[in-house]
Amino acid sequence: MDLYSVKKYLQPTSLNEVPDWQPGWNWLAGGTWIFNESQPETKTLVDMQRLRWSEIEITSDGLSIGATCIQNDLLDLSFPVEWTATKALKDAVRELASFKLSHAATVGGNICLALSASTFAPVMVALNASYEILRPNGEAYTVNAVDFQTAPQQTILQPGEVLRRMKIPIWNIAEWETSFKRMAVCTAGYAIAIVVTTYHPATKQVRFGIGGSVKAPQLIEFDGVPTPEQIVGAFRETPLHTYIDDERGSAVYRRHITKVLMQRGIDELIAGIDGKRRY
Amino acid sequence: MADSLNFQVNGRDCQTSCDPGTSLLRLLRSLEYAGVHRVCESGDCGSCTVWLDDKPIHSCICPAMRAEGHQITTIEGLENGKLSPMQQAFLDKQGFQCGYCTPGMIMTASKLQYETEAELKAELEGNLCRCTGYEAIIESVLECGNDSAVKTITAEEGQVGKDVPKQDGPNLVTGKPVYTADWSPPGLLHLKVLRSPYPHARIKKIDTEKAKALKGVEAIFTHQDVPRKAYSTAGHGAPVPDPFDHYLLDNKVRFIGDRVAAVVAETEAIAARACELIEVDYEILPHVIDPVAAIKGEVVIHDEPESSQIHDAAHNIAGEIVLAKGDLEAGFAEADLIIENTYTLPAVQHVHLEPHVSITWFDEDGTLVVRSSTQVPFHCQRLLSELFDLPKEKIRVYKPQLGGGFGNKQEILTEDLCVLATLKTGKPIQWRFTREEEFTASNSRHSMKIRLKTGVKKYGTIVAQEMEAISNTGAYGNHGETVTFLTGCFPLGLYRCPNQSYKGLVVYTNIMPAGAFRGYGATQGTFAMESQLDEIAVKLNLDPIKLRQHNLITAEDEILIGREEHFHIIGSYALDECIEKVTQALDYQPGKYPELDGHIKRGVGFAATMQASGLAKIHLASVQISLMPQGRYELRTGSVDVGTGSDTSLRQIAAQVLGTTVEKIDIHTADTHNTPFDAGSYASATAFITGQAVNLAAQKLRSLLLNTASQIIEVDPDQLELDEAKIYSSSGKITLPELVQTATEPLSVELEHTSDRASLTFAFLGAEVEVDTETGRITVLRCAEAIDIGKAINPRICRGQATGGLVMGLGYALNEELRFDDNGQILNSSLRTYRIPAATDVPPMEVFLIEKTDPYGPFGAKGIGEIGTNCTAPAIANAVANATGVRLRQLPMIPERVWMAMNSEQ
Repeated sequence: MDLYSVKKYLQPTSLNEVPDWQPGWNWLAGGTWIFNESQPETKTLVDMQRLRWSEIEITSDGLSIGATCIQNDLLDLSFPVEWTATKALKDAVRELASFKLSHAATVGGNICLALSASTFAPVMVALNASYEILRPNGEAYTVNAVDFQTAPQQTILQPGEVLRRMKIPIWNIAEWETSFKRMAVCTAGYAIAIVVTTYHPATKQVRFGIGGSVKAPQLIEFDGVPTPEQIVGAFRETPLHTYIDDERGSAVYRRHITKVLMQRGIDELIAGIDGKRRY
Repeated sequence: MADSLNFQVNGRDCQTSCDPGTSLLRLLRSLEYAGVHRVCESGDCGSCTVWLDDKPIHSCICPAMRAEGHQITTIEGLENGKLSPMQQAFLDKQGFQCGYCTPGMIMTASKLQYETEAELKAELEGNLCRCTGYEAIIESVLECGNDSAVKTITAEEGQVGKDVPKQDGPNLVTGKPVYTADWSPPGLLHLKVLRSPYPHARIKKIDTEKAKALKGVEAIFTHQDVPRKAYSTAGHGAPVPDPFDHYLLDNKVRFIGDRVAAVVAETEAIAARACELIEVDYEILPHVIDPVAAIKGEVVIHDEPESSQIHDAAHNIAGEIVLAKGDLEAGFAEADLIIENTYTLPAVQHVHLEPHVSITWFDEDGTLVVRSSTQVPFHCQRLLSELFDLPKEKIRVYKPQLGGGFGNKQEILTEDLCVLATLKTGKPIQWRFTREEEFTASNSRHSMKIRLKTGVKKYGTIVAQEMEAISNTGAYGNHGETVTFLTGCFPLGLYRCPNQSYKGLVVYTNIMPAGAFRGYGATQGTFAMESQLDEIAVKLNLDPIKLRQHNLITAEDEILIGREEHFHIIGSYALDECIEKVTQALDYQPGKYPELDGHIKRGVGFAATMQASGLAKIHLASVQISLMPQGRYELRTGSVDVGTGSDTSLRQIAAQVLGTTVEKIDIHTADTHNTPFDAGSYASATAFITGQAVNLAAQKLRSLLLNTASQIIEVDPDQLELDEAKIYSSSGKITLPELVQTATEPLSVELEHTSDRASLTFAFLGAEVEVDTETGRITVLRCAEAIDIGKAINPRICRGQATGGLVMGLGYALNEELRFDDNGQILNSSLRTYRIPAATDVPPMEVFLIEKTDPYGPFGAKGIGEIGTNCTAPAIANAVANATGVRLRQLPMIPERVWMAMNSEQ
């Protein structure tokens, strides 16, 4: 929709051109969220497109994705065959919304919005990603994906700070099998629970990236394939108040669904079934 | 600051400028690419899909500034001397009804890659349609590239009963500027209203000075600037049955979203900013959103003395309906089983894709012109004339192509303030609702609590039924009483029970008003009735089909609840055949044990319903039909094609009578100054009542033509034949153009028609479902529906009504619900959070149009516009109960509710 309050549109080619971050400024990555509801506080859009941060780098250390990488670019890319866990990234794109949105939406935008329904956040958590963040002066620091979001639509980013790239270590990308499962009230729309399961067939390690149901993405890890009892047990450590309780779904139900999706995710990976992503 | 932009649209260079927060959608529309349709403005519905360098995107969420240096393709750029293959496919398979989603569908489908039909449906997630139920859209896409162009249907083949293509198709698949907002007179100003942030408050003071000082603001109106005249927004004919409880602008607000002040400015952006600058001092009043609490009268929502026709304002009761027959007490005393439950139905939104929009101006001779997206131009004209004390002939209301309505445009919501503004400023004004306003400040279906108590003999004879509905009409009473009347009248009337009573209370609360919505109350009542019948069947260990067959009214019955004489008439009756078709289609075997498969359970359920065709004695339709000089016909009717295709089917009726084809008839509709009166499009009336008016007028014209010809060529009229070119017999002939030339009188007839009877349409639906008992998710595997339609004037159009209605019912069953907070604020006011069914949600549907000629409808036809919606939800609830043993008495049956119900009953 039209953003009536926006008076200025900046298109910097480097961070140096926006040294003095002002209240009312907003980064514009793909725009698919910013333009989806009215933003009365936003006076200036800082378009990130000309920063050229959309690279995808495949190295011996792992995968690095630039913040403004268009989501569909991940779908179109051929990753090294042994990088089995890249399937989770592709699933995150497919589960965002219409393919027409992922023609414009960026990976970094999805993460920085920190919507509970973010499709990338639980993937990044499950894949043990870290994020490189630039301070307004250009200085970089790194944070673990699981520590990035603090609450729905809240991250550790300070005004003027910006996510530069996401890095996934080679250890978590090669040979891990993945499953992406989500549940929404309807078949489409905001997820009320997302579980990304990664499983290493050789070591039997299992990592669950949890999103959608919780106020901030969570990681639940096991050294071996968990029994149903162990999955239930893991929930004793995640109290009900860490779950979202709103008109779309109660905390009790969201927690229940999270459990169901975890169980289904790991069951299918063990059985080698490529199951449904949506429930 | 406007920023400059250089890009290409459809291969043409474009140099322009826009505000930096402008969406690509607005930019393209301002450049007159009207085929880019504005619907959700949130990137969810796909109606604004264009290609950015060959990639389809949603232009509503694309910053216009991102077009710089790029190539944009819109629907207007697809045609290259002829239709693109996808456009042709949509035309051939008629993948549209109202056409508002069509350009976006075509722009998306043209770029899709899919291997299976399921994949295709999933890929269409970002394109929503509210009319078709997607069936025709999927068929169109699958057909693309095949040469399946439809053959013209000749006059010899006849026109009634044939799939004559919707005549507006070529305009719709090419995105022609045919809708209300696609054209406006020069010098257009824009209106926006400031809406109340409080559910209930008195306006102590409004200060508009700052807002008026904003550059580009033309005028601001508050309650101090308007005549204080109570009216109803409901589009009904006089005498209006609704409470007169609404004001152009009032000194009190009654729901979050109620109108406070109207701003007229050069642009929508300026008007929106001016609204923010208006300072209002509110005296906040206590509010009530629960109708049961509202009845206590501790908060009085309509305490103003000027309002009238309110049943009991002190207790917030807008209207009350009491219907009864027989002796209820004696009936229950006879019963072997009495079952009583309460059913809870949500407020849901119409989501017609084209929003409410009106444009008003003065034409050269001083007539006030109202171009509006309305289902009721004539009622609108009458109301405006009353409100502003203008003679009717000085107000012309007309509707261009309509992008859906579903009842929400049987409501005067935008025309009134637009007219006020044009009267005060003398200038052309447009008011367009945003999608958020559609969700928060238009109307919903009435939410209801229905208590139903049934007494039944052990072999299944129903002996007593008592129904009580509390209907939440929100802040205003428009349609409240008439809707709530149907909640009891149709579902109770459907069953042959001697002792019945119904009480409906229509209650004001401080939420968005409810109004007319396809099914008009019968939908809610049908859910309660059809659910409870299955509950009875389970208790008595009877087959639910047999239980129904045992109690359903028959062709010989009269429906006398609350009436001395038969009003809704059983004309033709084929409900028994409907039941047979549907149970056969689903391979139903009574008593078959539900299938089990791990955490998945399967079951099947059914429901029956009836709905009248129009309003007997009230719904007036007038038509004029003439033979024109070139031998073509002209049909003038005030009726409104909401997008269904009635402009085509009405012509089919005339063409059949006159021995010609639809293509030879020019139609003019829905214009108070250029067409004769018609009550408008509601109550499933158009085919049955306007259709009959057309039928009678065409017959009269035919006689006139034959008589005139007989005098000229001196042949007895009984021996004359009429075909599409001439009137002839073995001994002579005259061509139609010659006839017009020779005739001394105009070859034209005009008549008006009301029906003494409103024939009942019946329907029966079955659904097979799968329930995931771990998550509570219901998946509908397939549906079969049979509609006792009398005669399908245009089977494909009727089928579209059936599938569209069924899928709207699917949303009502499984997804849709306006969610309110404690202040009555709606929490899901966008298409991202209020989900309507998408293509992938739609199960395979088998639709049977059962044709058994009705004695009162044209060629035996009955109404079909609404009935398709009623059965889906109860059939699914019955199927879920069949699968799981768990009975859901609240809609929608979202997974959490299903899961909770299973866990509380286990």
